[in-house]
Amino acid sequence: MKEQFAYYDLNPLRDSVMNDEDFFVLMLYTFINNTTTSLALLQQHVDAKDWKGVGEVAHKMLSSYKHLQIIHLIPYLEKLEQLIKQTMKIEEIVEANKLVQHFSVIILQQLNEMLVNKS
Amino acid sequence: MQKILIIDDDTYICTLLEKYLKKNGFQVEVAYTAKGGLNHIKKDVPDLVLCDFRLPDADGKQMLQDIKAIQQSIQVVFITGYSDVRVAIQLIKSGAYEYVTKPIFPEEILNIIHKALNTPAATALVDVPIPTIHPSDEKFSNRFVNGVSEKFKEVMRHAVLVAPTEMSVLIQGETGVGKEFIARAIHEHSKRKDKPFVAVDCGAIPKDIANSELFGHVKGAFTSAINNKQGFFEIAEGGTLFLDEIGNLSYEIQVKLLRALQEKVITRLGDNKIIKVDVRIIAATNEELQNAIANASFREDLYHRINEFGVRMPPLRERPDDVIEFANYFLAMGNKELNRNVKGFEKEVIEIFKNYAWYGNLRELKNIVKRSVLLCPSDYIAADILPEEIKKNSFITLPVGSDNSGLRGATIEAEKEAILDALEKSKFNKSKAAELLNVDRKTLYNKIRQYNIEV
Repeated sequence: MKEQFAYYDLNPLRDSVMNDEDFFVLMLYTFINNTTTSLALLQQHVDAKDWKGVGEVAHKMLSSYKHLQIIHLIPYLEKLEQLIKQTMKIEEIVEANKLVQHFSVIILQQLNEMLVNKS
Repeated sequence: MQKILIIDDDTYICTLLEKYLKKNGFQVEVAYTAKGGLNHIKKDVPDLVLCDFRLPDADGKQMLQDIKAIQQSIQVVFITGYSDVRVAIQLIKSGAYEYVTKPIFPEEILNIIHKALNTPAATALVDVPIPTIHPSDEKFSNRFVNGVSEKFKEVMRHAVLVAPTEMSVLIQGETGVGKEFIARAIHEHSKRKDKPFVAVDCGAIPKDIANSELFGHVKGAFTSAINNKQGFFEIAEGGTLFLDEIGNLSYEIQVKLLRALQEKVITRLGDNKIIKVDVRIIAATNEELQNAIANASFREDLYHRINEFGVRMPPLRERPDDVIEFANYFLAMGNKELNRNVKGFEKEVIEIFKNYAWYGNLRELKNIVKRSVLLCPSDYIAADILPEEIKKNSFITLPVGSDNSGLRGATIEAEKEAILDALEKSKFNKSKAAELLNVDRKTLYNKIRQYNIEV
């Protein structure tokens, strides 16, 4: 049975874990933990106007967002990632961060609910 | 059991790959920093390192040097974001085995690992069989595919024209355009075709052994010289010596090379005996050697000596007709390697391929096609399985207006605004605007056209 959600697609992860349910759950917990930490860090860097720091956290978040096909947020993380190399208008950074934070929290909630239902 | 070390600061990737590779029979260790990874290698040398291109404490280039300095035979595969592909391709020229782009598909990585572990590491030149084509080998024409574009055909016409002469040839072109293919074509059409063709990647030879590799050495020339050894010049006797990335040779080697070209003699390292050589030189570079001459890192006299006839191989983006020809070739290769039976590309994919810049040239195209074969669920490769970066940076006119709402619309608007802002800041100087946007001029022109920006 393959899940389909609006914000993400778990099929690539299902394929990667070779039908190992424990591995699947471990990966989701890893994503939830990492993303929770990264979102807090991202906000800290935005508040401190540490743009390079913002870029580096966004860069790191992109791998798992791409793997879980969170396609609507990838362009915003990519935009923030560019801060490693170049500057950007503060309003754009704030807006992109706001969207990433808002929708990521929804995604984390959905995944948490799914894991609770599984157990 | 073969050992793999994963070095990545992303625990998601580490967990995914560690468990997946263990399930596939490997012994896997993980390090989250460059320093931790290198310490690990010093204690317990792995067969292969999977390394993130951007670690918090080192970049890919530094990591490759450090890993190879500990043990040259370790195969290194880099994990990169798409923005780093060009640099990653350069790293392959310096001895990395391969790169993979995110998102990660463990099956793709497993395939690369199996291949890498069956291949000797590139920089371990002293242990690797000499990359020579002898007349008895399979004809090169059977192993390579020709381009079909006018530009490619023109290059081939020049190659065939210069082949029967004894002129030295300098082939210029970006990494991955197929410079070695042209060099082999010249050799095959020359009077030397029944003699060896020796291809040497000067960028992959560590500087301290370049002298010995090219000109040979005698027993006792240095601590580990336990026997006399022929260099590439002697091995290529009567044939053709292809020196790829010649701009990487040190000044000292350039002097010796010039003498070999002018006087047709060499001396082995640690010996005074003069050895006559009859070798035709074909050199290649991906950089403007004129710049290297201007900053005195490349000898002007040597440049003129190797550039009796110049050939420029255009990048893939200047010959879109070749893209499809090569894509089909790589599709067949991918089917064979991955045991799949994908029949072709959907029309939209062909358009995307034709309009993408392919800065990594054939290697990038090959990797994209192979990954698509792996992911393709049907008979034909569709656009939805291509990386976003390829679709996003392919300059097909976007159906602007048809789907301009929501996040996608916001992204388009943000990009337009950034371009307009850069143009204004640069007083509509497109070169400067491209610089500000961190894209090349061609990309900027295409975006201007795509968004109908009036300048």
